[in-house]
Amino acid sequence: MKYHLTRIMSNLGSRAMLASLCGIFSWSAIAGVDRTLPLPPGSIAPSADEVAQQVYFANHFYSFKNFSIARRGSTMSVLINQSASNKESTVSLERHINNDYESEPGEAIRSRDLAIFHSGNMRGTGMLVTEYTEDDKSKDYMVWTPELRKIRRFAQPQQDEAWGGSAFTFGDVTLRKPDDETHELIGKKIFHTCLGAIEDLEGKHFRFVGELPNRSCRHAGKEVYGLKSTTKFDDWWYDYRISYVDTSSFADYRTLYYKDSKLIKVVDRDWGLVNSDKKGDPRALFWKYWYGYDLRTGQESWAIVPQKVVEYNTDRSSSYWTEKTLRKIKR
Amino acid sequence: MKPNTRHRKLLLCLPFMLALNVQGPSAYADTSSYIEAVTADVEEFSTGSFNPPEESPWVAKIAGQSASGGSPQEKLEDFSSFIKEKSPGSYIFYSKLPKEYQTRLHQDYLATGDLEKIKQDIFKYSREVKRQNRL
Repeated sequence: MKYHLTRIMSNLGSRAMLASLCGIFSWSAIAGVDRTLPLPPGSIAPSADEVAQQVYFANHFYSFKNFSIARRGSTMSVLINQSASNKESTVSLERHINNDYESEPGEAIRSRDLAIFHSGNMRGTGMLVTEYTEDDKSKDYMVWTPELRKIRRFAQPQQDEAWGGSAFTFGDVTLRKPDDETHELIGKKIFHTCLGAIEDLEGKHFRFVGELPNRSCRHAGKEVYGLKSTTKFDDWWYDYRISYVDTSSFADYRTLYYKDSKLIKVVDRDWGLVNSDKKGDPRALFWKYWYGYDLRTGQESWAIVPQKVVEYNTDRSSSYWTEKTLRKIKR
Repeated sequence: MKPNTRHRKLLLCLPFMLALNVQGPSAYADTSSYIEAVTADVEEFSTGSFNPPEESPWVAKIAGQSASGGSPQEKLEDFSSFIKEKSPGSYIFYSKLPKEYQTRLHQDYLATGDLEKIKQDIFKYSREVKRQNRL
């Protein structure tokens, strides 16, 4: 009994980690950005604010009615954290996002995001994040604790909290809104470099994903905007960040964070087009992987989404995104 | 144990301890070449020119430009070598495809990065070409 309680408390104690992992595919409401945001006309160059809004749109999967990184057999998404001393930790999870609420008039919910954890001490834990149409209303975080077989509610985490103990923060993956920063376009150029990856693990066999990817160099040669975003928060962990944003799909391949004019962190995102016939919305993209490197701590993080577990615009009923599903999670 | 024996043992251990101490930082992930490449890339926004670090494995070769290192499959030949390395079986069929199909596969890979789909398409196109040849 004592053992179980200790585990439960430990799990509850790591709610920030749970919540942060859930954040990877959740999306936030901001004034002016929702699923109806149109693609800017190709003939007119977008402003910095417009680019920031398009980046937000792509990162929050507004192109899709629903989007899942499911589980197929033993294959699922994985987050690998490697500390400066090469200590490694792994979390595997599946995610299901429903973005199809606003079609109902007067609907208070904007989206729901369900996460189920399959490894580590969070195994069997589920989390349901509800986002409301009211911009000022914070998200609801409901966590299913398998030991207690109960659902607990938590407050929305802070933007600067680490996401899953990784080099990413909540702000990086979900909570930061375009309104939290002032934006400036610093130019347009060709992207020259490969995206980062944990070098020791590239191409190696790894549990949950089969073979880990190699560094992605597919985006080299693409035209990108340089978007400088300066935080509006006082005494924040970064002063400004520079993002490389694809000029046609608005995928942000890389973000560099600066504090006191020094580079302190890099976050790279490998994006894939879900529809290879290139028809439809060019912003209908998904993350193949995220790589983060914190120069202050030496920590590296790598979140990998195998393409075969990606599902989108399925006919799954909205009732799937309810507490009932949380309660059904196997212990 | 006599104190002098203990000291002698400590002295014997000292080189190893020092070696461990020296080796400590090098055991950390070496991300310096990555950061150098990233810094060179972002500086282009302010300087207007890209000056890549020499022989950097993080700088991609871009068609029509001289840059060192990397293998982004930017060119069709690089992509063909990539298929050969990653899936020798599929490469047998891929190599027999007309260039237009190979180019299509290459473009699809650049857009999606989905090798599994590319492998499926190789067989699909192979069947398509075979059917066309029969007619």
